[in-house]
Amino acid sequence: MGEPRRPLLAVYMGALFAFLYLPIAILVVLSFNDSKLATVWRGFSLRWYEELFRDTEVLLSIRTTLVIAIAATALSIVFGTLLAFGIERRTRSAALENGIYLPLLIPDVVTGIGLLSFYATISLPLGTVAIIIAHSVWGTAFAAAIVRTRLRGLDRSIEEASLDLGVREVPTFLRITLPAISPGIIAAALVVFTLSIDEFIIAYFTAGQTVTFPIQVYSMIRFGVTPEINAVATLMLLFSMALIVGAYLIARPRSPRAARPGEETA
Amino acid sequence: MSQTVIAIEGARKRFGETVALDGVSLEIAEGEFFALLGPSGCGKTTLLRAIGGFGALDEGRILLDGADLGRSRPYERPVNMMFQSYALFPHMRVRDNVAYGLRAERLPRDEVAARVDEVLGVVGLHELADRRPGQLSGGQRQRVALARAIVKRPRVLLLDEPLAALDRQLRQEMQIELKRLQHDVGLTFVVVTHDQEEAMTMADRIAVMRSGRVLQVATPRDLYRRPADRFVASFIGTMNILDGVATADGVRVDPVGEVRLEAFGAAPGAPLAVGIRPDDVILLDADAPPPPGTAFAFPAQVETTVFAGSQIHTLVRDTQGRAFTATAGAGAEQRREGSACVVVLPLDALVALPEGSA
Repeated sequence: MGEPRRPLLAVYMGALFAFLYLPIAILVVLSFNDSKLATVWRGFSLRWYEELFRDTEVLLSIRTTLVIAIAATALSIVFGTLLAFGIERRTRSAALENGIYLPLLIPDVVTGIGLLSFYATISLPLGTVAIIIAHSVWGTAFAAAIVRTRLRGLDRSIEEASLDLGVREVPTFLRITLPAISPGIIAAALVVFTLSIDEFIIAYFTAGQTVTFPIQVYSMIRFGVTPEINAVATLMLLFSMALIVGAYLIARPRSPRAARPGEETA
Repeated sequence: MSQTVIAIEGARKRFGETVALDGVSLEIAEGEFFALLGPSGCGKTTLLRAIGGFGALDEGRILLDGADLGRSRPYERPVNMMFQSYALFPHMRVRDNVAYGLRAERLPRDEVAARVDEVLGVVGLHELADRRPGQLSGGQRQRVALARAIVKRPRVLLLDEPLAALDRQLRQEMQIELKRLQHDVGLTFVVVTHDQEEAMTMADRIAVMRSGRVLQVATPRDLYRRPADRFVASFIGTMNILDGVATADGVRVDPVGEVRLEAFGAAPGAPLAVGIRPDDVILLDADAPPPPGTAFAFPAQVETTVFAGSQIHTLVRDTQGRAFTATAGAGAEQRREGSACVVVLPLDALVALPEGSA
């Protein structure tokens, strides 16, 4: 109330949102188009989705990508969680800490080239394993960052209480620490998984003859944007959104956490 | 007194440059409610944690029933701790929190259930057994933490600021409650607190600590009546303090006179304060007959009176500018501000207060 109307501002915002979301909306709509031409609407149809699921090349690439994503996620959360414990509890060195997060900021092209020559040097064949290692290294940094936030909010006295009540270190970790930080670990897994399935650049450099899903899409696009590509993109959009929303729901702080002194809830 | 459960011998501990414990020796008796009292940073929590097995001493020993605890781990000690944050396991129901320590002992299932039920009854939490900590109030969480520790039937229960997280009224109720509970379960309690009133209400004996040292170990009554030094005197309740000079067998307080007191080895001529509790200070009307020779008496003027329900506090100032507080029962007459009066300090209520070593 009382704010003067600013028509220019509204136009600017409108344009911004249009450029952000309109292409995606059009893509989704056209994926249900019954026309061979990707740009002319002829009626609702699921034929491109059907065709997609009959395309063995596409299915194979999805399988490859899922194998890579699952393996990379598993490795990332194990190493990432250990790393988070190390940074949070074993060191106060800022250099060490930043050294872990830095890979996230290095351009993927640089990482790709670097890995390519590194793998050649150590004679590691390019392909699925090479991509899994590449994604794990990078996923470990992400996972460490996410788990660490959770770890920092953990009341360490619950671990001490467990020791005090007669439970040794390892079972204490499994029964008390792990459940307490599990939302962070699950969120990290979802994020790493999402990042891995649509990662293109590093995979492209290290894939060799292996075709991951993003690489498959890339090669399809070379023959122009077909409605099938739209269907692929729509499915990916849906899948990624679901994972991100899932990660958010799990990772957000909830009220029943460690008891905080002075807090009255009942 | 009964048998010693915990003996601490020459405990020293430093964290970097900070000296947390500077040669502490103590004995805690079986069945006792023992308080470690002192301002923050005095080392009381460090000492409690050392008994629990969290943070080994640099020097000295802690004996439990005569055996050196050494560097044994917390889970190897028949001692349990109630943490200041309560440290309840957020993902477990109240019942599972309480059962956790018994399951660790691999006790039969029905014994665990029976003991958990029993202790939940003791702290009055039966109806809340299936709740999670996040669904409980502060007072209820405190009871869960207590139940979880006492169900283990430890030789000694360590309580780190057990009431600090509660609001004032609940805190006062819980002081009495904790005392009753300690009596009922018959365990030895060692409680850390910075609240002198809390320590006085609950404890059988109190160790007053400052800068990593124990200044005095005594019953609440002795601590109040016979404080060992100036710090203890002012930390436990209020104390009127007069500066004096040590003599051969007492203290001379100018200009009111000399009193025979145990001077704690202060050399004659050395400054030595004497103290008197506000409830021992007597105020007389200005024209009242002079008191007999067993008291210091001198004129003063009433500055303020404070009516505090069951008591009246009167602040007076003498001709030398020294302030005294006199506390009388609510039945006493309330003196008019600005009126003249005579301050009477009975000699047998005076205590010598050395500066203290800490």
